[in-house]
Amino acid sequence: MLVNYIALLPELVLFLGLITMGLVRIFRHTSTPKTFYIIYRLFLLISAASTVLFYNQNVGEYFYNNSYTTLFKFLLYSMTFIWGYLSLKYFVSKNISSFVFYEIVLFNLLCFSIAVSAHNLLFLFIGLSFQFLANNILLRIDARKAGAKVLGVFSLLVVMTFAAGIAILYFYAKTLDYGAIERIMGIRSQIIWQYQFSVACIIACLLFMMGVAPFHFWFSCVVGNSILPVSGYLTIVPIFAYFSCLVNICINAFYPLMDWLNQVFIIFGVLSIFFGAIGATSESNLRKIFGYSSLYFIGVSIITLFPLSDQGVVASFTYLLVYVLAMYGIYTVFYGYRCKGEYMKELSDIKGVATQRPFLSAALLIFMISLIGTPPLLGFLGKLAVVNSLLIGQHFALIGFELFAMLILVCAYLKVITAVYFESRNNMFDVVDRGVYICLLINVILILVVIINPKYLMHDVEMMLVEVF
Amino acid sequence: MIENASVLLLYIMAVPFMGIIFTALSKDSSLSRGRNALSVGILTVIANLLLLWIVAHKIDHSGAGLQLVTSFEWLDTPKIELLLGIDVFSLSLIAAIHFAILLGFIGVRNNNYRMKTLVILTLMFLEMVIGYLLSGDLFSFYIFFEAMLLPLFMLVGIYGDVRRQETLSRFFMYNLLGAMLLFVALCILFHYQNVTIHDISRVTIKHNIAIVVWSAIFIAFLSRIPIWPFHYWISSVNVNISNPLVFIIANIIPLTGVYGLIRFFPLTAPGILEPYLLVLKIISIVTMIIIALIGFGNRDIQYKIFSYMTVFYILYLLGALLPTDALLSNIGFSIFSWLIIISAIEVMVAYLEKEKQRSNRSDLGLLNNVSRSSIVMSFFVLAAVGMPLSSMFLNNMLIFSGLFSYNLKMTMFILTAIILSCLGLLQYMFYLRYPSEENNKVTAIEDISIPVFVFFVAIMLLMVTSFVNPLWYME
Repeated sequence: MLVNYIALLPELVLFLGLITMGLVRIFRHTSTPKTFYIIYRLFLLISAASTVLFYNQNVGEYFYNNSYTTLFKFLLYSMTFIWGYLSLKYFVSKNISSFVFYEIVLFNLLCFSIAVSAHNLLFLFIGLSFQFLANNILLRIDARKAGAKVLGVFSLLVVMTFAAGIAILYFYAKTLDYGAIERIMGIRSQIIWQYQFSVACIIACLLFMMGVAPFHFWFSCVVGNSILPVSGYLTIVPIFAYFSCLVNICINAFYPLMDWLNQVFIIFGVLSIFFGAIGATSESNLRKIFGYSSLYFIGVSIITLFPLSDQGVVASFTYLLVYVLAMYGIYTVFYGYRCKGEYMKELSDIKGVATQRPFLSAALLIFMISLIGTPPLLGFLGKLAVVNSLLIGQHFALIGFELFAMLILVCAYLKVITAVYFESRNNMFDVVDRGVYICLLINVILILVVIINPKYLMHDVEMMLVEVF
Repeated sequence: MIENASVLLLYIMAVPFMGIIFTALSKDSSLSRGRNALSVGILTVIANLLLLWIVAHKIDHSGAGLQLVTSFEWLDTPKIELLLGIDVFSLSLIAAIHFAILLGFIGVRNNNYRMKTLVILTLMFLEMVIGYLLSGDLFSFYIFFEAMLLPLFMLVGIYGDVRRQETLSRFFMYNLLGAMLLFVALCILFHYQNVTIHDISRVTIKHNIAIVVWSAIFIAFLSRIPIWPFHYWISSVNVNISNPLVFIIANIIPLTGVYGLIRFFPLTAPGILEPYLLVLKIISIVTMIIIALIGFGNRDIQYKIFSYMTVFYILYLLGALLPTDALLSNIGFSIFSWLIIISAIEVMVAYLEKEKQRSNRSDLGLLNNVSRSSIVMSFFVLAAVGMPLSSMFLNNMLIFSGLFSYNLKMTMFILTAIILSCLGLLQYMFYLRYPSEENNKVTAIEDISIPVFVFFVAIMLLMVTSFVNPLWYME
């Protein structure tokens, strides 16, 4: 009997971690930023290990694990773990409590874990809505509330829309199970406008959470104004969970509506590419530049993803993976760009930093060039996968548009490169923590080495991804 | 000694990479002033020249097609196999680039501004150019075509003295646009048929798509050659570069454009583009004449050298577009000497400019009383203007005879442009040797050191001995 629920062990461990952290917060008065990090690390690692160990265990029809979900969960755990490690540097240097950050990040991970494995819309709703609402608390760390104000109202609205979409669907379909919904919608005569409306509500909420244009306004604001651990976390980690849920729900629940959804997604994708490229070029805030570039990359991933062929899913995932790795590196570099204890945010702050921090700057350059998709860096693999997939679909106009927008985006990166390398320095930068260098080194090696022989990795990833069908 | 000779190509690719690592790890104190990094750079280039020497002995100089081919399965979906190979044409270009960069290193030996970065970026560029010239398949060709942009951009940005950042950005954007066009075109070609570069012109594509693909490839390569409207970026960047090494590197870029066209279209452009070829030729010749006039009329030597280089690049481009592949080896042999000669002139010019500023003098009579500099400068300028001192003389004559037999009027215009640009160099030489009385009273500039002179003499010997075929002693 108990063995049937063993698939929930990772989630249970995360839940225990949350409780432990809360108890330590209440009963231990001399806790340091490191205390919560240690608890976070311990429970996260146990949870990750049990995820990999029980990768094919299911709980009834609601909670479904396979190689596809395990791949995404593994990525979520890895990204969260490393980001948690880097974030500790921030809390230690500022000497502020890390409890809220680690507690919410662990909570988010629990929610994501539920959402990724969900085979029922109610579980998906629970997972995604709670984590999205919890982000409001993250944004209030260190008394910076500019981002929280923007997100606060809209997150409630999004959750309500999501709930409304699910309620309408349940009212007409009498089920929230993915498979059952697909079967009902598969009978063409049964597709009524209420289904389309409810699907539109759910998809719109997912796209809002991803920060896709025209819902991108909250994302750039939040990323630009929150503290470095939070802005980095929001840029890097949640995207994998949203992507996984979007693919899962579209293939296993809403597939009969794909003809209609395809056009919608292409419009969203094109808008994101456009706003991402233009927005990044017009910004001088470093995090906003990369926040807008995220919009561009998510846009490209979306247009590559649809129609949902296995080729498109693999290409889109590859592109996303490459983007996340590079973004990870860029945010790690931001941990190194520190002057008198303050983390640099503006382009003018990092002028000429290459003369004092050559290795950090070289890493930043490598990551940016990888994002552009210039060979021989890993980014090229993503660009190749995307163009190849669009060519198969004969989407020549989309290829042209994507590459043209990339040229605009490159202008933004050139501004960063110019500031870092070609201008004279106006700041004395603090000594960089060794952990930052280690994380950077690993990331740079990944970007430089994987591209040499990516076929084995890609083969395995492809095998795991197609399990979603 | 080496059983599998194709491994040599991988070694040639690996040596600059090792050089980058060693340079990055080299100690760069205020005492060494970047000397360690420079030494690593020089040794790397020399090591690769030795490997090229071995390669030259291993390949069949009369054989057609790529030799010492080595392949590597890179991706399963889409199935991409990277292919490297070499022929006499690419071998002579690779060797010339190595000599040019070696000369550049000699030219910057007394600079100490961010030497480590300079050497790393130079070796990175060298790595990419070697890869480009060794590429045998569509994707490796594109990979290195685009990859060389980054080190180039960084070099020009850090050492190029480009005053306006927009110019620099535009320079990168133009090149990136060309690379993207090439990428899309190659992806489309790849979907039709996965071929090697040598067989590319045999791919049959639908008419409309063929126009897009071939035009994109043509524009991609032309964007690297300073013909109108692409001349703007390269001229605005090049004339400001005072660092001889960076100048040499920036001027290798048009070579990649010419090489791409030669590789893709060894006989002539695809039939579908035939109607546009005449327009291209007219534009090329007009650009040649205008740039030659600018070079001739301008006192600044950087303009003269830029004008000279542009005119010759367009000459090679027009030679490559002739409906025959008989001249390809002549183009290769001519470029070999031409690149080395122009690099030597640039190094000497940078040296003289520095001395001029130090001694607060004008160009007039600068070479008087400095015999070693005078010999070196005179030799290379005379070789550049077409005296029988290098392989340029005979091979250029053959290229001209090809052009004459193809179109007499067109060749007359080309010849006019060449003469004007050469007169520009001679004019500069005249100023340098001008024996005015006033100049006899001022103090002489410092001559080049004996080791540097010996190095230049070795290069001069190389030029003279390469009179017919630069690789004759390797056959």
